Amino acid sequence: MTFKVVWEFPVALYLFLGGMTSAAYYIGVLAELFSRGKYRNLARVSSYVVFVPIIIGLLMLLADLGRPSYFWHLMFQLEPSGHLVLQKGSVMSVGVWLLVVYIAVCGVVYPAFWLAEEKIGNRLPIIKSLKGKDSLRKKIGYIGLVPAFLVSIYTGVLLAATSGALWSSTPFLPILFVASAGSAGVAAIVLALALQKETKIEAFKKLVSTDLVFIYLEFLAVLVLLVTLFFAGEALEAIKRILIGNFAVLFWVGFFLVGIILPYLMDEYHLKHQRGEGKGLPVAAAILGLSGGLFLRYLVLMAGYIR
Amino acid sequence: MKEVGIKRRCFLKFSGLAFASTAANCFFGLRPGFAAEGRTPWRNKAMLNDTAKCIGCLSCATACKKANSLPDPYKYSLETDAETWTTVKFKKAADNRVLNVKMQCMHCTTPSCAGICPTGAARVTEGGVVVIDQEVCIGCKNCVVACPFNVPGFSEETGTARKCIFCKGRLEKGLIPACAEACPVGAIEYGDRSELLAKAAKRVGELVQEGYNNAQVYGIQQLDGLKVLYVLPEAPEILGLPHSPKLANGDAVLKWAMGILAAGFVAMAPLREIFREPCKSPGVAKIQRGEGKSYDI
Repeated sequence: MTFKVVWEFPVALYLFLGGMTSAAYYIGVLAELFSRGKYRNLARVSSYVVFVPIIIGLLMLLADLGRPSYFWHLMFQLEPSGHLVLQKGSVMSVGVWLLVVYIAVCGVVYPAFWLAEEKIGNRLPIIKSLKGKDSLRKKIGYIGLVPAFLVSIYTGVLLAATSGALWSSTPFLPILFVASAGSAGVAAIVLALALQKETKIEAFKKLVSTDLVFIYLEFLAVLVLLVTLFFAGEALEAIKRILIGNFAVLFWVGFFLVGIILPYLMDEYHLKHQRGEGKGLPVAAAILGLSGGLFLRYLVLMAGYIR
Repeated sequence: MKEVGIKRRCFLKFSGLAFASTAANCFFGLRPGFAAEGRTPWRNKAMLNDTAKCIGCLSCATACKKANSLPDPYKYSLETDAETWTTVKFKKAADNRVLNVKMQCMHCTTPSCAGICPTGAARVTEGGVVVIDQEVCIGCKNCVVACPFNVPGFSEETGTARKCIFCKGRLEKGLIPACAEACPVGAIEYGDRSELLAKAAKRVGELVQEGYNNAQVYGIQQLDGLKVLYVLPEAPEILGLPHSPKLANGDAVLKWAMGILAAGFVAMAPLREIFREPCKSPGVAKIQRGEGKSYDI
């Protein structure tokens, strides 16, 4: 028996892209900050992976609406008289404005500074005036950390603030989504780096180490979630279907094998036996990691309707 | 002196006018609260569903569909959805008896649908009736997944979420909800909340005497009170009702906090460790001197 299945693949994809882009952003900015500038290239590359995927995510949301042409009701309404809309208790309402700020700062303004440093940046009208403004760029980057972290978290809170037992009977889903977003974000940066012609290998080594952190957290989060859900007693049928029922393949193969075990093995092998050299394994792990991340979001979404 | 005289007269004229209009406004005006009390006489009314009396005839479901111009008035639906605003669930009790549980919007005092609705379409109107404004709703379906009773449904036809509106249109005309009017055995009552609560308590007493030890009134504590009350012969869970339904976004702050904890920990500890460069690193020094391309790494 299921509750009404109203959010399906488009929403799962949006949740995935929101997490992936926001984590890629904050990992890149923090990499530059913590390395005192050595890894500034990561901040550059990761800022480029924000805009297009998040716009795709937004289009998914728009397509999922029952009345997409009224999407603006989320931000502005005309009755009883024209006013801005913010429903403070609604995670979705807060999320809409969060996304606006996030896309503006992390998807447009911050990457514009990096674009200004590129060859193509010299020819673009407003962007070329941002060239060389390194300290301003960094400040904007730090400001952008706030919406980026919040977007990473918000996708989990959105599902958790409902009555779906799997999502809401414990408060731990946001932790799983932060972890999953993190490994997807790392994967996105790895793939973006791999597309560059000249890249020092050291960056891959650092990213692989970061991937491992998020994989550990993901594994832990899933464990904690399953155990606490079991003891909370409300999502037992959902857990059963995830572990041994109709979602078992998606869980054990799609999420666990493809998203956790294989990337973990590849990352470890890359660090220990390849001494952090070579691009092949990190890229393969990244592709698997992205797939696993998407499988997880879809799985969590679809299993949430079971009662 | 002449000026003062005129001023005083003007003052008295205008303040008299002001007083009179304020008084008139109090009695005939549009301010909610005082004047609205008279126009929402259903503020202190409630509905009582006596599950033990229900015979499962579904007259209520049919009457509801007809009163609200919903399609397929004679088609049974297991769940309430966008086109079925009330229905009866058939639950088996321990002794294999079938119990008939009417389901409809509970019109909670603290509704989850209104709590999470991002546009404010789902809201509590004066008098306690919870509606989903069909002009404002964008069909995001958050209310469908947030309702602890699984009441609202998404309509492909209208592109919005829809549910029972406590026959608000009928109430405004001085009528009672269609389901209450249609019930042939009086299992659905509409009246003063306090009176219905007293009736319900008495009914529960009778049921306990008949051997239904877990008989109870449902809807007093749940979500700060439901406008639709129930006399249940068994525990709620047996009848498909949540024992302690929670406000969907009630612990949202805690859930945000969990996410912030996870993200904060990850950012501060492991990420910092991984990317930390000692001051004397040649790579850093090179960047700080302004040498080296930005793609050096």
